[in-house]
Formats: sequence, C-alpha cells, structure tokens
Amino acid sequence: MSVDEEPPRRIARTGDGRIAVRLAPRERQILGALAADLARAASGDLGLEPDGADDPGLARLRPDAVRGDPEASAAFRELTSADLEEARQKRLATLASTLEGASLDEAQVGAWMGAVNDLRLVLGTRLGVTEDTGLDVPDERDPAAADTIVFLWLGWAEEQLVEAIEAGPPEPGRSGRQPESPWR
Amino acid sequence: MARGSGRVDELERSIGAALAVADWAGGLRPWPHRRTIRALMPDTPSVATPATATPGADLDASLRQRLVPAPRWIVIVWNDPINLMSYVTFVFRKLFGYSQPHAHRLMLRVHQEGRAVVSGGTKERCEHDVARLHAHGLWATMTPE
Repeated sequence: MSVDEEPPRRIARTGDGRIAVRLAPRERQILGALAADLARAASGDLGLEPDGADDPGLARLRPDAVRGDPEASAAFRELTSADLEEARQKRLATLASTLEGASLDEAQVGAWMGAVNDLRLVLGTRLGVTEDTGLDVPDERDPAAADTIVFLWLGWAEEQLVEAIEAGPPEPGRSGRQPESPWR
Repeated sequence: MARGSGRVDELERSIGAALAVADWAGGLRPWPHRRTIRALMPDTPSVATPATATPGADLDASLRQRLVPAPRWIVIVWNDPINLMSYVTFVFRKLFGYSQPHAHRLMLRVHQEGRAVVSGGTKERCEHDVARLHAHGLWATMTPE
C-alpha cells in the first residue's frame, strides 16, 4: 500500500445524499482490527489502565481540562469520562457494524469520522508524530514504519470523511435537523 | 496562613467543581447547592482549626468573595500535531455554530500561534464546551479570564 498513490475521493457523497465508501478489503480489515483494539483498550480490556496512566495514547483521549490544576482536572475527568467513553464505544461499534457496507448514512459517517480521529490520536501519540510526519516516506528499516503508514492512511481517510460530511446532503434537506450526534 | 482556611477553600473548591460539572450533565443547579454548603460551613473549620487560626476572618473573606460577580472563564484549544486542520475547522463550526471563515481563522490561530480562545462565559458553560471538545479529540482547557 502506498500513501503516495492515493486515489481521489474514495469516500464521497453520492446523489442520494449517502456517503459511498470504496475501500479495499485489506483497508477495511485494518480499520476493523484497529477499532476493535481501541474498543478493548479504552474499556480497560487489554490490561491497560483506561485513564492512560501507562499509555500516553489513551491518555491523549482524556486530556486535562483545567491547566495547572491537577485536582480540578481529575474531578472533571471523573465526572465526564463515563459519558465520553460510552460515546466512544458507540462510535467504534457503529464503525464495526458498518465496516463492510458500500455506503453510510449521516450518523454513520459521523461515527466513522470520530472513530478514525480517536485512532489517529492514540496511534499518533504513541508514535510521537510531528507536523512533519508523512512529508517523507517512512524508512522501511524503521520498526515503526508500518504503524506510521497506517497512521498516514488514517489521516487520508479522515480527510475524506470530513470532506464528505462538509459537502452536506444534497438539496433542501441541508437546513433540516442533523441526525442524532454520534458524540452525545 | 492558618491551615484551617485552607481546608475550607479546598472543600469548597472540590464540591464546587463537582456541582458545576454535574450541572451541565443535566442534574444539579450549582448556586442553591453552593449556598447550602456555605450555610453549613461556619461550624466546619472551627472543629479542625489550630488555635492560631482565625476562622472569622476567613469567613468574612469568603463572604466578600461570594458577593462579587463570578469570574468569566475562557476555553482554549491548543495546537497538536495530529488533528487535521480540516477536522478542527469542522469541529469549531459544528460545536459553536461559527461561520466557515471564522472557524477557519480560529483553526489557523491555533495552528500558527499554538493556541486560541474559542469560547468563554460562565464556568459551567466552559466546562460544557471543554467536555464537547474533548469528545471530539481536541486538546482543550479552561481557565479564569
């Protein structure tokens, strides 16, 4: 898989307002495996503390809310993390259940966008990426090369998901109420 | 300063924080509860206060504090190397209803200056915004203005 030869718009709006997803079986397989891993890791199922105490990637999903006040941040985290995690698990479950589909509806594509973003945050934090990551092709001798490529692929997918959502459903439905948010 | 006053402030702060967050979650309203807690406070410090403490003075200070308007808080989004520019712009539009140009400007400010103030208001309002930004994976914090 080469990230340099990305075909344009494989995730895009179609005339009926749905979002077509043209991913290779291998891509769906990787995405599904990552989502399953994150669902387990974030729920404490992989032996990692869900609060990220021993994993900076997971910690990135629950940043401090009040800068310079660890006590207030801890209180905030305690009161918000259950809702935050429930919403995350819902998004990951939606991605898993629609992984093989040819197209997504509005709520499903929102869940995909959120799930892919969470995967990027965890993977990118673990890899220690910078804003320059991806400017050069990863060195194959680098043990993290495969992870870096997956991270870059997730970035490509996220960009396509955002653009597809931004394009909005066609015609009048545009001003209507958005479907239930996949975050709350 | 006497430790006694520290205890009062500490207790008040943690309860206040808990109530404030509970409020946006659809539960408690903060102010009546805070008043109830305040009403119960006068007896609390004197129990644990060393002989050198002056609980009366501390309570006067806290009373004065209660009479001034609540401080305005602001929500700051910090730059991070992972979130995509297009995604951050989208989140600003979606969460705050900002126009595309305004959301884009805010995103650029985060990107170029390392951070930007994206919303502000009461502490409760800011806690709500920070929770939503965290739910979207943005690195957001809140601070008194």
